[in-house]
Amino acid sequence: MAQNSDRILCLGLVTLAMAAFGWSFIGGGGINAASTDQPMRLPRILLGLWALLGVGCALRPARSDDTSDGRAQHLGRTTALIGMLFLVAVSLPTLGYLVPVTGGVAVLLWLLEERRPLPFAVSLAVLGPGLWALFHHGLGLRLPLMMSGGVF
Amino acid sequence: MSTILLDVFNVWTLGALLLGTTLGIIIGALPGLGSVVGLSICLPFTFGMDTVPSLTLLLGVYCGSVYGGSISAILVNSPGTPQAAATTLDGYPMAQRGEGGLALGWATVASVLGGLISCGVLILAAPQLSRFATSFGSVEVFALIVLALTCIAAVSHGNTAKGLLMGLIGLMLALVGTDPVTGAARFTFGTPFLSAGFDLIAVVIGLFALSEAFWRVATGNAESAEVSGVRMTLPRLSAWKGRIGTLIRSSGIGCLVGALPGTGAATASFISYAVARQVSPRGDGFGRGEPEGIVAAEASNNAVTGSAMIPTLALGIPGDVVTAILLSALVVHGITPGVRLMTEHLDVVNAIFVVLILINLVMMVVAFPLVRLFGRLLMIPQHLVTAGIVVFGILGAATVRGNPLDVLVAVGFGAAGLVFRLTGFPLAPLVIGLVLGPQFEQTLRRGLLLNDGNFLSFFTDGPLAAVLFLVAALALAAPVIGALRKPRLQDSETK
Amino acid sequence: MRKTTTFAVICAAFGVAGTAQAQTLELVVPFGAGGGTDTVARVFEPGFAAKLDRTVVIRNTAGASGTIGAASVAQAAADGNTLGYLPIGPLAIQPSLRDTSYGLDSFDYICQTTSTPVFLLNKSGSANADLAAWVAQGTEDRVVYGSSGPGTIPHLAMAAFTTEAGINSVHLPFDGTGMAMNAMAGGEIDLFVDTATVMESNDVTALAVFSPERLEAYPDIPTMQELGYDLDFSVWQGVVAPKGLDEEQRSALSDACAAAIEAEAFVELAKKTNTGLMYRNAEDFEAFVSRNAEMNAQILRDAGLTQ
Repeated sequence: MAQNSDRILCLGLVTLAMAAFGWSFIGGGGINAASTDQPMRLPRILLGLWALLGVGCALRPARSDDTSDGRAQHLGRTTALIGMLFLVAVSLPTLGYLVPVTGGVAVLLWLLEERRPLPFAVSLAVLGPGLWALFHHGLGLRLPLMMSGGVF
Repeated sequence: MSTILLDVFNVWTLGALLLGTTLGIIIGALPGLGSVVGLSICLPFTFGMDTVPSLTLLLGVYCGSVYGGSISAILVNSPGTPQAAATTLDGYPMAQRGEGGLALGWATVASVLGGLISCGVLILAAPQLSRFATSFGSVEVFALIVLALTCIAAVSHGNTAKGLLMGLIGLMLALVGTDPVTGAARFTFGTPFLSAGFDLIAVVIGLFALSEAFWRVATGNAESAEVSGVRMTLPRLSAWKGRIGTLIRSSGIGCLVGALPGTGAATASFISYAVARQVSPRGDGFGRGEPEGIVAAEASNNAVTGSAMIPTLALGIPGDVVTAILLSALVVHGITPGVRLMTEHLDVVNAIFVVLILINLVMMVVAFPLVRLFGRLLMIPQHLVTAGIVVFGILGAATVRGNPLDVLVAVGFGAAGLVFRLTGFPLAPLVIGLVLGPQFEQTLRRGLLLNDGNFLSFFTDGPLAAVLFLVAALALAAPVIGALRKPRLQDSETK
Repeated sequence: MRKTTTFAVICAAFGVAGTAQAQTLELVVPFGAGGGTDTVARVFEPGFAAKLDRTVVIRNTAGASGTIGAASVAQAAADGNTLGYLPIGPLAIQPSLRDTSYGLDSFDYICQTTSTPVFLLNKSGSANADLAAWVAQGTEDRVVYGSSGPGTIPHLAMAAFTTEAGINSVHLPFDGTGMAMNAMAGGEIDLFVDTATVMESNDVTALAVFSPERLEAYPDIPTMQELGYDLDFSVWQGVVAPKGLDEEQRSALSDACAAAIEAEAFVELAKKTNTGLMYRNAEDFEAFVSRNAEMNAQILRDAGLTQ
């Protein structure tokens, strides 16, 4: 199982490199075709090496020492956490920082099994609105806003 | 001399010194926030201040944040700044063994001594070193970058193929965005956001900080180091025996790399880590909690803080974003930086020298209470530490370029980092590739433009380039020769 | 039912909170804190805020030669709460060099603040004493010129010059002016174009200035026109708003901008940094940007940099 996931990842990386290699002929370029050196030459060389090494990795005899699968028991919860953070990140440009991140922190604390009401509320207040107020208003580092000119 | 004393030893400057250094260490230590965020916070305040106090504040934040990154690198396996990425390699294993306080002691002493050595170099040899730095043309810098890339093998820990693959991915990621030579869009898939490329800090936040949080969730904190209530313990003098050489060598590497525009502390720390691993008799223990690895990384990245001032002060050429901000602070205060700075504004230059030395001394002192503060902070339940890492990661990614999409990049690399950890792919080589990628490509292509596309003439460009290429070849060949000579030993090592 | 009401109340409360303090004006600077544009914008801001009697904060949105920040201004609501402090690059060069999500007509123009002429520089004590010697070298052999990146003014001005003079040249782009100056000190590049600040702070001398007339501060430096090349380049900055701002707001902002430029701190900074102050009101600025962008696009085409 462990060695298989290792191989799948290597082959996935090879596929990624080949897809990017293909893209280098369709996309990009475009502008500046008249220039003397070619912007895509180095990326193609690197992608070629990447694919070769990836194949080498996938074909290599499996070694017991380079994987640590067994220790990760809560992969479902981790996936939920990553998915939730993706949603937060995607909503930042439209909903601003405060609302998605505060919501995200609530889910995060729940996923981390913080169920005691008081620590939950305090952590939420500090990590959500507290840090936001400190950075956005206190330190003048502007974070994404829901409405231009609004407070949050 | 007396004017310097008046400039430096007044309430404003000393206040700025203490405040800036403390703030810098705290900001550096928070995973996700680094030197750039720290300087952005302080910059608006400097407009209303006098020249010397405002430079002191900025320098304090800069030096403090470079050191502070090591605290979170050691205690929570998330380098607070890219400069401290190499410190995690040995710092975190030490913390896992319960030696977090000692690891911090090594990091602090190495940082302070590295910083002081570079101050000495700056004061004594700035004009000479800056002249030497200008003799590095595109081909010479390319040779140096190639040399730096060879350290990927050294941080791959027995799995060179995976390490090289990650290094290549890092190099490739650095090429995404607008082509620096022609301006063409590469692998942007038609999105304006990608035309700006991947931001190093956002990627480092994802790969190290966020993926560490994911890893903690995935393993139920089973692997995390027990670090609550940690207190810094300085290494005994006897422990320095045999490690002094690494300290001096790493500081030297930091001074040299820092004096070259466009390289920086992250590059320096990886190079000196790789060199130390090759040279040191304890090289085999690197990556498993060998204090010398921390010394190599921290002495060199803090040595950069002083020597980055060499091209800045001697030539008016900023080596990185941080020194560019310092130069702009000079300009705002009516001082034209440049070749004539040292003759026309010697008072300011001398004040900077004194301030840099003081910052390193202050750092040594404030490190103790700050580390205790962090130790206290980490006494909160582990899952709340994990939540904190996530939130600071998001905050850092959102502020680094002011683009909310950088948060998406960080989360994406966090997920990728978790997958890489689960499958035993080392993360450090990817960062090395990403750090060196832009310079690697630009110097290569400028060299080719100058030599009519003939790569072979790189090797005949001049003695400096030839020497650097030779050293790079030796660095590549050394582990191969070593592996051929003792294949059995090498195998058992990786277990 | 009760839930819906609660929800509605919360929404309303958020809405009120979101707009109640609609006094903060965000001035987007498309480069990082501490950069050249940022420095000028931060000194411009207090005078601007004072005249408007509003809180003005700077938001640094860096990346892709300033186009990310410029795009964020173009996309913002045209309510006068988001403005951009943009230099020439993202406004009048980048849109013709690459696919930007915005164009010249994505903005309402408020005012121009600065205009700084650029100089043609070579290393002090260089073997070629004047421009004619460089042209001779470029005709027989080649000249190497640097820039702070493709599509920057240093690049465009040199591209226009080499095209007009008909000389062989190699363009080496660098990550910013600092590294290019390092290369000039090391002899890797022969020529570079930049402002007086760069000229003053490095060991370089000016061969000519890209302005219609000689400058008061540098009466000995000939103009490109005197040397036979009809070239005029400067770097400038100005304030823009997202398209669709109402007329009243626009003229109020334009007036505040004029006042901000005359503020003491701004004038002093301009003097320290050899920045030329140049106020153009909304209409003049709009016309100027459109002329300038057209000229830059033509240079890019002539030099074979775009199709």
